[in-house]
Amino acid sequence: MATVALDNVTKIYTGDTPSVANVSLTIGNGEFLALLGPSGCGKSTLLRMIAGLETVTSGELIINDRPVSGVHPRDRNIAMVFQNYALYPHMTIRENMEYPLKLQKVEKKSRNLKVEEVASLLEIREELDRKPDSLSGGQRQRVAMGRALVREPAVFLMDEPLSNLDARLRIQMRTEIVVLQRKLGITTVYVTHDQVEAMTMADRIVVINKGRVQQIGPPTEIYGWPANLFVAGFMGSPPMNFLQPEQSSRGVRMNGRKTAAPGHPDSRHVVVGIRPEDIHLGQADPDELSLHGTVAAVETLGAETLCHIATDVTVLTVEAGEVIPAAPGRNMLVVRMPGYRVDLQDKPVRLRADRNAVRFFDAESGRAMHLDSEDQFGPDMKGGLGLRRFKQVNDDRDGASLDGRPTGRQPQEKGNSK
Amino acid sequence: MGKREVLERRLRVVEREYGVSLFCGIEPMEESRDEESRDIGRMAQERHQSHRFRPKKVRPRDRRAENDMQSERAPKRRSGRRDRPLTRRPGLRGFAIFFGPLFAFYAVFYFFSFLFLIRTSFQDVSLSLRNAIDIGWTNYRLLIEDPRFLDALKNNFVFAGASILAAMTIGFFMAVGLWAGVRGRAFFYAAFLLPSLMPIALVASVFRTMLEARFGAVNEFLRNVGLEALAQRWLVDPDLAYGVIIIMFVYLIGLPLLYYTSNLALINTSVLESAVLDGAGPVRIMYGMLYPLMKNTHKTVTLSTVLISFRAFDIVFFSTGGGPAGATQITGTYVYNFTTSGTNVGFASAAAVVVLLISLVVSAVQLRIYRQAGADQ
Repeated sequence: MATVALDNVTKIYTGDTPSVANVSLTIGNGEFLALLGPSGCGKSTLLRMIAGLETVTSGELIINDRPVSGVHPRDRNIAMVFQNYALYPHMTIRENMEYPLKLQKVEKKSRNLKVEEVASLLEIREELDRKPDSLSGGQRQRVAMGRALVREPAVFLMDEPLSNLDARLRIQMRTEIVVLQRKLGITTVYVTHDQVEAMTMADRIVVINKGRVQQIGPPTEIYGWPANLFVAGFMGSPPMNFLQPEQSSRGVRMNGRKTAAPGHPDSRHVVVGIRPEDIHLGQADPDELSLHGTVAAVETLGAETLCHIATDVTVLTVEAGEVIPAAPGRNMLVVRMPGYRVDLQDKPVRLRADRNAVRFFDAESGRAMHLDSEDQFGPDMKGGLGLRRFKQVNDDRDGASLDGRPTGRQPQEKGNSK
Repeated sequence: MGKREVLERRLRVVEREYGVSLFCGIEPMEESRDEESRDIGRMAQERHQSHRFRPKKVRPRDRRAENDMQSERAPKRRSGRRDRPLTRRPGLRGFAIFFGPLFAFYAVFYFFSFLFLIRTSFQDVSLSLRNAIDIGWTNYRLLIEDPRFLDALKNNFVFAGASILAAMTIGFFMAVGLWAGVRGRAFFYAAFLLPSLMPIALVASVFRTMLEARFGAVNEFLRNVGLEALAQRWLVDPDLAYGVIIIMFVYLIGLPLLYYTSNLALINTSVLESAVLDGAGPVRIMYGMLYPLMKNTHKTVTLSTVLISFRAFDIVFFSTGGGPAGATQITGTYVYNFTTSGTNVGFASAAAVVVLLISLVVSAVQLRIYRQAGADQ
């Protein structure tokens, strides 16, 4: 087990545009950290820098208090599972798994024992004398993990290891990896572009875009309190609804009701964000946000229904860092409702949203306003928008994980948002 | 029933079945026609005339409407059949024009030559190909008993072996170096690929000129730098000539180099990165990973080099001519020398048949390996 620290790590391939820019974070002992972002955002480059497969242009990489930027990959005591498993096709599974031990000049007897032990753990003992091509995707994935585990690495790196599996197997392997990681307590860095994987597996998530860290935090915080419009739009499927409130000298209003964070200067342009599941059918109470519209399309997902509601409020989209109003006639809110609600098709509906569920963003910088409020009022007062309740839930989670194991999180990197 | 009547009846059937009139320029026979066929013939002629004399530009929409009308007029066609434009399918004539030259070429230069070769291999016949005497398997028996043929065959395999060895060592390492981005890539590519692209006869002639004992560039150079003792009779001494031919085979490793380079480009780099993380150094990656991963390429290189050695007539002929004293003779030059001597073409034919059979066996093995490799992938 080990801690990993990145101090202003930057990677520039050619020109002036960095692929990874000034990333600083610390990964705690035994922590499961997910690097999440869209394709080409630099998350794999960051992982490969930790592995030593890419050089660091500037900054420092520290594993267990030892700077390793100039250290050869084999001497970093790390193991990596690749997206395509990278099994040696000309070797049997046994040979594949014992290869790192062989290179470490471990005795044959010890090698065999270790391989058998890990193979039993991963339930691939029967496959040890087969070649990789004769295995299924799931089995190959296990072998790749097994080969990484036999070395007893200090840090486990995984580069989208589930992306080649079918949906059902992916869910199964997701659970298996989490259980295994918790059992062994190996510090793990997991790269993915799948937010469900990140949300379900990681202790903390690092959201990256264009080589820059957007937010670092536990899954619930990332989802519940996105640091900026990118995170808010990237996390969640369907993503957060962005609305343009009416802004005047009387303040920020939605459908005539005053809204926005206390302490927020009314002169700044605001984007209102509401998650699809935080909008409900029904008449709004005085302290709730009120919306109305007509259900234009209904998508039934079995246990829940997604309603696309045409509304008078201006709906915004975030593209390439810019907030753009939707085209006329395309002001559609997405609302997630429990159950099977095809009956709502073409019906006019009244909607309400709890003020605690509403998020505010600066339209120009994209930065979440609760972060400013936090600066203004202290960490317990993110604009008074129910953060206290949220933090309490998170603090309970921070104390111990669901299985009672200390999570070992180190939440010192807060935000690092733009 | 006359020919004309038969033709007309067939055309009517075509029109009824396919809705296409082929009554182009055929005057219907009045006396043998019934009422229905008269109508059909007239309609077809009218349609033909209208198309012939009043060409009308059909707009897409009009064409669709016309097609609809046609489909109403025409009898039901077989389901699944697309509406086709009024073009004829390529008939036997088109097929003959398209494939005829190929077949003719193949028939003359391959099929006839092959049969001629087999036929003459059982005969005692001079170069004039007259007064041939059938002598059964005698040519083959004499061939197997001829030590010069066996030496030529042995030389073939020795040269092929040297070539394979060079390809799988020098060629492989060169390919890995070029793939890994070694400096001067363009130079190495040019140095090793160009000879393979040039006519081998030219390369061999240049070698012969350079290695000429008195005025050759190699000996001139050695003398000029004070190494006169090393200046040899390269193409006259049997052992040295043998070495020269081997060097020429090695020099022409461009093709294996290409095989290796193209296959290295397909290697999954994650496998190599994984080996690096596992602790493998460059040497171990080379022989523990890359070499076994190129297994199928090694097979291809081996077999293609053996095949090339049987066709390497020009390398030997234009450099040593198979000499001195037959030391560098290969089967190609052996057959050529016997044929041009004109004493018994049948004997040379028997030698050619044997070489051909060996090549076929090698080709069959190669094909089998290709299929196996394809199935593995």
